[in-house]
Amino acid sequence: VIGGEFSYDNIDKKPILVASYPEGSRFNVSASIKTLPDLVTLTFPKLVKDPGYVYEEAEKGDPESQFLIAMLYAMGPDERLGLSFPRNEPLSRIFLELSATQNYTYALLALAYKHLNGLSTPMSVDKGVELYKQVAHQISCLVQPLSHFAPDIAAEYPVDLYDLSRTSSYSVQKKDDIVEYLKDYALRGNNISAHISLATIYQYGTPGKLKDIKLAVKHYLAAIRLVNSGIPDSPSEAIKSIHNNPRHAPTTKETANSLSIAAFRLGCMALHGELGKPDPSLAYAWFEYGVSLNHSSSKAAIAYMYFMGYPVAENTESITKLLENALASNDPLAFAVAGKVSLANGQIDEATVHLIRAVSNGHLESVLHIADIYYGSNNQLSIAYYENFISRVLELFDVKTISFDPLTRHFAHRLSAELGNLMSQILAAKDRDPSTSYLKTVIFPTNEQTHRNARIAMNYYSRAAARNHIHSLIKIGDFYRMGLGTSAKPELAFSYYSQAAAIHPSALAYWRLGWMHEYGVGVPVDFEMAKKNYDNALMHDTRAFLAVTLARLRMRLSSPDSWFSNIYRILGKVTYKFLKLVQYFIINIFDILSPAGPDSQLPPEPPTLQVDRTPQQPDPQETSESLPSPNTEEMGESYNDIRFTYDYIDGRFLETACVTLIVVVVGLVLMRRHQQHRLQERRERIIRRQNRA
Amino acid sequence: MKFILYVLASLVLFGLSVLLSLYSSANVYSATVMISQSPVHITIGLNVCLCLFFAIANALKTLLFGSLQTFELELLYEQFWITLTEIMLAITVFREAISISFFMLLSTLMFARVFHSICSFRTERLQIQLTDQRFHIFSRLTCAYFVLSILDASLIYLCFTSEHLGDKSTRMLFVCEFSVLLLNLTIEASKLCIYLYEARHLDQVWDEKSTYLFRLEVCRDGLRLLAYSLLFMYQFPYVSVPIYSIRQMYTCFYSLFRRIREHARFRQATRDMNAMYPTATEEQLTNSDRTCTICREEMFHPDHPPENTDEMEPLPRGLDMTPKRLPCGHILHFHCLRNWLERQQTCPICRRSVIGNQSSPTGIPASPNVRATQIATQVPNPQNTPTTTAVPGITNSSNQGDPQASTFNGVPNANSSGFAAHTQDLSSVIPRRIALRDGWTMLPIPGTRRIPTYSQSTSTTNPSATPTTGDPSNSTYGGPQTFPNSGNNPNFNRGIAGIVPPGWRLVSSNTQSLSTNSAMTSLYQNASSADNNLGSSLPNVVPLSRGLTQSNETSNTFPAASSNISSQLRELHTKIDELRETVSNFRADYNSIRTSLNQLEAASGINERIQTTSADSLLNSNGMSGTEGFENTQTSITTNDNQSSILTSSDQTSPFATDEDRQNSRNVQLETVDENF
Repeated sequence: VIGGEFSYDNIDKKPILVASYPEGSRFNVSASIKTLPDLVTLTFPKLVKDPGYVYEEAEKGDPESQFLIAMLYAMGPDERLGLSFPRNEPLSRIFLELSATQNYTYALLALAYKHLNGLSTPMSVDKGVELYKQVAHQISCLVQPLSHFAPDIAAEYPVDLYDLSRTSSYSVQKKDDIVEYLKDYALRGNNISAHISLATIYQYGTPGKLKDIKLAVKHYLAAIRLVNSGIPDSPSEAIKSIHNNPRHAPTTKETANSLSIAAFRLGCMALHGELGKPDPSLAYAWFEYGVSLNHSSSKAAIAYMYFMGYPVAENTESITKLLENALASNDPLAFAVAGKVSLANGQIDEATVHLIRAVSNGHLESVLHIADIYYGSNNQLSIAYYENFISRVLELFDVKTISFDPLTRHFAHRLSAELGNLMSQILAAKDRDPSTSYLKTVIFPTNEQTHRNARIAMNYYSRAAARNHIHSLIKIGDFYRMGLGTSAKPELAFSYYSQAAAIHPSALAYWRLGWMHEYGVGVPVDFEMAKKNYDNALMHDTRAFLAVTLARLRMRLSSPDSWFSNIYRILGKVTYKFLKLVQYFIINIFDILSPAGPDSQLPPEPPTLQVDRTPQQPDPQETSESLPSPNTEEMGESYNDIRFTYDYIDGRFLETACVTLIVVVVGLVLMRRHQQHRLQERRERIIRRQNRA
Repeated sequence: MKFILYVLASLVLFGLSVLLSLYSSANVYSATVMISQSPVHITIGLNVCLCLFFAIANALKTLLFGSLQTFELELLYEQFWITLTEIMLAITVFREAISISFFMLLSTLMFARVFHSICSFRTERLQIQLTDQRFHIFSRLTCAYFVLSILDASLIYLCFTSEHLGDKSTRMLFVCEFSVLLLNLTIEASKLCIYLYEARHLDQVWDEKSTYLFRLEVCRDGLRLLAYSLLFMYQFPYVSVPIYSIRQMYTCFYSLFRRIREHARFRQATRDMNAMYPTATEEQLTNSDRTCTICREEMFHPDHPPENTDEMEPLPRGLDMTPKRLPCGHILHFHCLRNWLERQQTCPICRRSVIGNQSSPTGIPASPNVRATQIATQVPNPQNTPTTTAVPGITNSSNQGDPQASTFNGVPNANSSGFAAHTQDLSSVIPRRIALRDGWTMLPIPGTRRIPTYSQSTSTTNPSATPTTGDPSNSTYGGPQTFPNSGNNPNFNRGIAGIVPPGWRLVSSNTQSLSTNSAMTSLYQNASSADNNLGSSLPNVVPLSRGLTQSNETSNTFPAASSNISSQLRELHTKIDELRETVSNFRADYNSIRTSLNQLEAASGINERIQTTSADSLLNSNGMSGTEGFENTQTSITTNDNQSSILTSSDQTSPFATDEDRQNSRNVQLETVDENF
């Protein structure tokens, strides 16, 4: 009826296609909006290859380039990424504003973050929220109101700074295996749910697989064809043929469910124009087929169609009836639609209740509506919802980045961190954190590179800490305690730890406090306080048992009342000397192995120099020269690579494999020995018998 | 060596795991979390704990007990599995997950039990060795007692006081277990004291010892029962069915019951030993080989003392060396018999009960000779004393002999007639048991019915063999069916075939007396040669050391047996004969060693040196010598004389150490184990 130009949403009448925004409106964006992973994969090679060109583009007025240059100035020099733009906040700000005047989404987002946190601007929540709202509405065209349910990855896979949770990590390989398995199962076993799962993977894409709508449609239709044999390959004709000659009904409930899911998905695709042009009537037909199979989401979708008025007339009665029906079966989409309907009718409270339930089920659009509801009245909440919405739509923190190469990944994290995503900030900091391995920190002395990395890490940690991320607070404490990136200030470290413990009781923070009391770092030695803190740690997390037991044992042994303390002290000194020896040995071995010497080759670059550099002439030649020797670069990279794989892909598998290998080797050796022994014994026995004979 | 390798490998693995976790975490705290959460690290850590535990236990073992001997290891192995099973039972009652502390306690308990059992075992063995008075108060054993008691006490204290060892019911379980262990230890220590006291007063025979020991054991069982009942009471509100404590209570109760019953039987068997067991007459002694099976010393009738009394060692006061005859006909020293009866109330040689005979009380103690004749008349008469000499298994297996046995009463002249009298009327008169020489019996082969026809033929063909040689001792002792005791009898070679009627078999329950007697060996050979002549229908001669019923199944097939089987049997017999010959050779060697030993002993007078020089140091059963040879525990338990075990223990492959001996020794060991726990 309406075709391509129907209004998409009753609330703000936003059209579905970016191009159809009226010229000059604030929603009109010059370039189509990309998600962050897409942006990074497109721009990062350009940036590394020829930063000068990007800079020129920016000066010419390209908003994307302006944004990128602004980000580079904000990040400062980075040896690993091969970027040497000096850190310059004002300049970054200027480029950002330039880009923002063209309504460039990411620039707006970065500005919003700066305003909210007072980075190089005075802090202004109102301005921040305003910008957030603008960005959110700009990107809402990426959201498909009916089918867009996205997992909140930041909540599901939070970055584990200290590897404390030890949950199984998200594995790309596993996903690939699943796809292969599903393919096999669907094609050979003619299984409906396998077809549907495969189609879902193709429709939304996974970290390993890109979206492929055609394949998705094919698999959906294949699934339907298993019940309604002989339907044609095109969705529109398929639904017609189903309508014209209704076949026998699906036999089981599972089949009906799978069929209705396929129908619903096809309907959504038709509505969103993924099958060519947006075609509401085709969508309606598919939804109807879903309703005929008693599918609650399809009911909600039909209600939505009635509500929007295409391709049928608005019908409040049908809407209420269908929605009630769908709500009864706790359908997440029904909550979203109901929330939207209530919102349009001005019933804010009811809408909030419905929308929050939809949000908890992962419905993306509802997040935006909620944020809009809170906008003005409760800015903090509103910001939180906007942020959630934006980071999920733009995929600021996403598993997709796993499939990137480490440098691109790191760049993506840093970019995302500059845009204010908490998890990305933590991840970016962790990437550069020189203190992730205790053994390494203990053995290898710090050098200039460590300090530079530490400064970058600390920058992001402090941003995360500003948003009350406990482990980041503790990390900052660690940095102050060890003097990484700053001078060592144990007192400050102690205050950071106490702050972390006060904000949220954490076993790690308490343990650290107890440790400081025990050893008298930053505070005088106080065994009583140490004991109290250790007890606290144990109280908040039973997993601290081993650490606390060790500490208690240590305290009991080293306490001056104990007769054992002298022996303990002497033993400790001896062990310390021995460890020093080991350390010396290891360092020398590294020196021998890599004669280049990782420290000496690095040009000592005090941070002040970099800031002083004029931003107008970022010289790409100089950048490449200032890079450290390729030798160390490679070492760092490979280390980083291993660490990353180890963290995210199959840490446990590696562990298990190593241990199994060792056990098997030891077992084999023992078995061989045993066999030899037995053989010898037998021989001796035979000889003895012969002798006797 | 293997163990050290294992310990090293575990330590290295643990070190790697610690280094790995320190490498991949930012601080010690996260490293500890990683170690305590990751399954792999936990496994490695536990392995190291276990390994260290074993190492400590091993070190403790070496310190306290030295190296263990084979049978001790076997014992420990059994003990280990018993404990494990018990613990599995105990685990069923727990509700909370098994923690590491529980695991550690469990392993400690397991090892404590093993140690305690070694300790008690060593104590028992020390009793045997104490005769040479080499016990010092600061020996390993006392140290072991000391250390183990400290361990028990400290663990009990720990379980009582420390909260984080587990919940209350778990701790109570361990408190109970360790208290029982401590109790056992105390009792064993008291036993040791008793043994020591006895050893210090070697010249005085201490008859009340067994009573004291019994009281100790009863005391232990009672206290154990009490402990487990308390545990039961404690667990009852928590657990619906506390299987573990119920089981323990049951075993305690059963042990107590059995001990009391056994003691009662012992008291019955030893109440009036002089009256119950007649002194063997000189003739009976000469008929036997005069050797007491228990102490291996020669036996003399009190009226006929040996001539060379002066050369012999002076006997301790109160040691009664009178030869006593058991109802089954075996003769033993009074003292040895009494010692044996403390343990079991059966004949040490043929395992027949020694008490059953006394079911008809005689009232006044009869003089030995009268008594002997009384028994002699009683023996062949199952009607008067149905349980006289019949081992239950035999009465059951020879059911078809019962109708004939009923007519046995009709035999008028039980005292004088030979076997012929019966062979003539075998169908009507078949004795239930024909007593032959020591340890030899004739038993009906179950399943044979063709007796009469054959018996007549044999009786006609061999009438000359049947008359007895007229040995009075045989008639007094064994009754009319006594085997003719003469290797010199010219008719004997053919006689064996006639003496043993068809459907009957000769059964030996005494291999030793057989092996010493070369006449018997020749008897066997003759029997087998006669076998050739008479074909398949010859009586089956089965040597049987103990369980008489064992051969029933093989003999069942006999009547229908083909010549094939009999030839196989013949081969077997010849093999057995060969073995016997080697045995007798050994015995001759043994005797020569023995005499030389005696000479040496007389010459030097130092017991100790002889022991170390004469045979392997195996004898040094204190366990400190550290040899690994197999030691025949039966002999070491049943005899008080260490030297007697020289022969049996000197060679591992000695024919003495047959499988049955081994089994037997194992049985004895098992019993001691069972009593200890």
